[in-house]
Amino acid sequence: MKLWLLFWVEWKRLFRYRPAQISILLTIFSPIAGLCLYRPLYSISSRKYTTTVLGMYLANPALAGGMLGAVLFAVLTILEYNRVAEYRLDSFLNAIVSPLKTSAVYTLSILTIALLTQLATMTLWLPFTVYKTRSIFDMGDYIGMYSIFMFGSIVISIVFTSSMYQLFHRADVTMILFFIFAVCGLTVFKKNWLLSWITPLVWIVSDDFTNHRILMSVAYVRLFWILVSVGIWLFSYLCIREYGKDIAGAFWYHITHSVKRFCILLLSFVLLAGGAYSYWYQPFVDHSKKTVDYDAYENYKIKENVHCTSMYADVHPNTKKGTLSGIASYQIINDSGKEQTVTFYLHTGYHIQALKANGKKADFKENRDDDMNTYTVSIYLPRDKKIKLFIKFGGFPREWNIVSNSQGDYEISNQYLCLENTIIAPAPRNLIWDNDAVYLLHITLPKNMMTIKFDSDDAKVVKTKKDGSRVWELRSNNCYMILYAGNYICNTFDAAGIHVKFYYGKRHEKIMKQAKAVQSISNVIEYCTKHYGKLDSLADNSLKLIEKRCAGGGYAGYGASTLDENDYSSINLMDQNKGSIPGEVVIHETVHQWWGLGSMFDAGENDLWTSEGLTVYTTYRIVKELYGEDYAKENYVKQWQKALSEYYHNFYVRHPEYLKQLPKKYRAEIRNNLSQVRQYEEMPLKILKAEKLVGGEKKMDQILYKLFNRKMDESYSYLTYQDFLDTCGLTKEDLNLE
Amino acid sequence: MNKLFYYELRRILWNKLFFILVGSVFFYGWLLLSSDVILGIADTAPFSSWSSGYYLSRLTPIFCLAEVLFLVFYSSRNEEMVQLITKRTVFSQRSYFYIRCGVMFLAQLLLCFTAMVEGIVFCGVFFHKYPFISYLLPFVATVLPMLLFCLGTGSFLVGCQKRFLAILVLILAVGYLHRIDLFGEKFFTTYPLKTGILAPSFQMPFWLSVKESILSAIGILFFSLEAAKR
Repeated sequence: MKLWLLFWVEWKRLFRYRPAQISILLTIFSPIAGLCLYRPLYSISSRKYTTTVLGMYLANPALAGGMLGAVLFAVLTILEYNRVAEYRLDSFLNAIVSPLKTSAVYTLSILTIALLTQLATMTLWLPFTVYKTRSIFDMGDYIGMYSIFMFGSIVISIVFTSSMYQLFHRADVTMILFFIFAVCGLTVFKKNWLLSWITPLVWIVSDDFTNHRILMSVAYVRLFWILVSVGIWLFSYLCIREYGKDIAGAFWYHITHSVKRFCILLLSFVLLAGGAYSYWYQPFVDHSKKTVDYDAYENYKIKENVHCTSMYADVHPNTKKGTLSGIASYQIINDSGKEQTVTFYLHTGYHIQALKANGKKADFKENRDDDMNTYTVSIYLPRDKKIKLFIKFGGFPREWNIVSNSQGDYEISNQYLCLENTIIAPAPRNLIWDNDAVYLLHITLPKNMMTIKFDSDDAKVVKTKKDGSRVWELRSNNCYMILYAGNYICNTFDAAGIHVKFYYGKRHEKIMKQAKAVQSISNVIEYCTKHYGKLDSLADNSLKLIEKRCAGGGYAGYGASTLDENDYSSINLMDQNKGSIPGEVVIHETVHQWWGLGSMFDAGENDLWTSEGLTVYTTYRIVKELYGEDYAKENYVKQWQKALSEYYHNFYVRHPEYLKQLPKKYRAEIRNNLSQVRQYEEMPLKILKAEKLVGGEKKMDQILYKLFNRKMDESYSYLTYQDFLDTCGLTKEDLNLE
Repeated sequence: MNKLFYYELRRILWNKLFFILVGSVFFYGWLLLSSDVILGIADTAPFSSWSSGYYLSRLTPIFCLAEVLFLVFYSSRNEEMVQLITKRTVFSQRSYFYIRCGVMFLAQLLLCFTAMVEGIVFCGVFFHKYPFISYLLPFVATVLPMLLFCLGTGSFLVGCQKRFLAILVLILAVGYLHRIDLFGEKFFTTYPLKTGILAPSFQMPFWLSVKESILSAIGILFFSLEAAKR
């Protein structure tokens, strides 16, 4: 019988098969679990489960559907494969049709049924998702998430289960192997984004901007597993028992009696090798050192007689592929009269495609010493005094491996992109950046994208191309720059004498209005100005607030702070306890304009004393004023106490001698987990204790006002822990926590 | 009787299924030890009873699934055909039932033993500690009752109707949910933190003793009912 005919017969039969009908029906309804029972996306609130709207009504149901669908279709595959053997009819069937053909037909039929089930699921859930997500609904996201998050799991599950049955010819053994495979995927593989097959590691999805990067990342996970599972399937296909032979006999018989089957063996090896290659050389996450050590990273010798006097970069993000390419040129003065080897930082996802010094090809070496999302490139400069260095570079930005489980930050799409520092262009490392040196950047972006520079300066359009794309120009006084681009709207207003430029995504416009975002941000700025004093650090007295794609955090720089898209989300608006009050990130990053930028900190010997302590404390005070004392105590003070107690109770903190016994990999993981607790939790608690000791909030506000407006020492303008203690009239010991 | 016991034991141990089970326990055990247990569970040492208990509780679903598969093995179509002959022999059916249950239980213990040895060796290699007692206590406290429950309930359900084994699978699947905590994972990760003592020595609260006793009692009851039927 021909394969397609067999397939048609089997396919029709499967539709009448009761277990298949049950599997189809349950899979179609399985996304329900993602609405209430199984919600794998991270919650942005510790009080109750909260994520973005798309996360709530699209990503979670798709992930839950994938998990349940995978289990249901695995059971169906085992039943289907075992059906003939169970009734001892395999001898009869094998006499009529080759068991290899039968097996291929089984797998193909189940895969086709799964595909139809997936289409039915997507059709059935479409109205619900459209209704729930309304204006932020995006068909691309819908199809992408359902097909990659859900269908991917089901396909891998079917192929894996059928290959295990082909290998062992036992339903019980297949069941236990699938169980282990699924349990590992749900638990221990969760620490490795590439291995999380049944529920991929999706941390959060964006409502206001695009989700290309996370979809690409999960699609890559699917590709890896499909290569591996199809490779195993093809190998196991050759192990199908025929003519009463055992596994080895059948395998040997198949590969020696047919060239076609030998080719299948080769193909299986190629696929498995492809899987191994795609695992080791995955392009999404870098291989930076696991231990985060800023001192070691910045510990290098400066070439005193090599200067960089200017830098220019012309970069072209490819918004379809998520890549970036560009040419950077540097004016370098070599005073040494000798050939020099200088180093540049390059983003870990990029490569140098060409390099010229004064028009001649120069030697360079990519050191691949990946650390903190960059690596160094050694460039051999000629002895000429004036050197014009050209670097052609490009690639696909790779996320830092220590945050591999929360990917999505390096989104480059025609709706949104955020380029930070070396992601834009290589940065000089061990040569002197002259005080009057200028970094000029030209970036070409689609016409709908507005470019925002992350500091007080603005970007301007210098050219519009025929296709409508625009070239934006940005300038900086140092060799680093951060820029955002996307479908932004700019809303300007004044608060406490500061001119605020508030940038947010077009999709978020309605929510921003409903949440009275302008008013709430004004409140925060007025609070800080009233309590700590006027900001002098802002150029032109203007402050930019830029909405960032959801990341669970943000940062601040001179004249600019970010806010997370979840700070003002419709889910938060629906929450009666929070209402239109802004989220923590925008408060925290705005406060950093006072603590950290308006007043700089020196940790000195006490690594606890950073700007984070006072910023977190001030955030708590603002939240207390806006939300009330109970809310602030529950969500701040108690959380600090909990985190700190967990830190001091941690086995390895109590017994560092055991930490030393662990391999380096584990030591780095444990240290990274614990590193920030003291700055973010212990210091605010110490300041809270100081507040009580000095006589309450008013007194503390006066002290902080005094510190913020203190007379600066020109030679040393940092705020030290001792300054804080002296102004409070306290000693270090007074602030020891119980 | 001994001969029959050894014969049945060989059948179950010298079996593809058992080797796969041992391999699976070993593989999953290593992943658990190297990812979760090494960090220490509930602020206790990786070689404490709580960490060992967590490790065993995460492996218990595999032990239970193994029990289900052994029961399926003994109630397969082939077995039913052989039973047509064995039932007509002079040998007591009850003794035969005891032998099979004993063999299944022994195979289970061997699986648990594999997991415990792996855990002890792991602690020995990384921390130069060999926590035999730390593994024994949670095993007796939480794993053993689950094994008794599965064996008793499973053999009773199979005795009634082979398909009823699905009920046991369903119970185990529901028990896997974090809230129900049939296997004790939640207990090992949260109870030490609730005691108010930092890294307490292993202790069983009253409610857990009751829960485990009930599980054991249910297992023994169903086992006795099934034995009485034969």
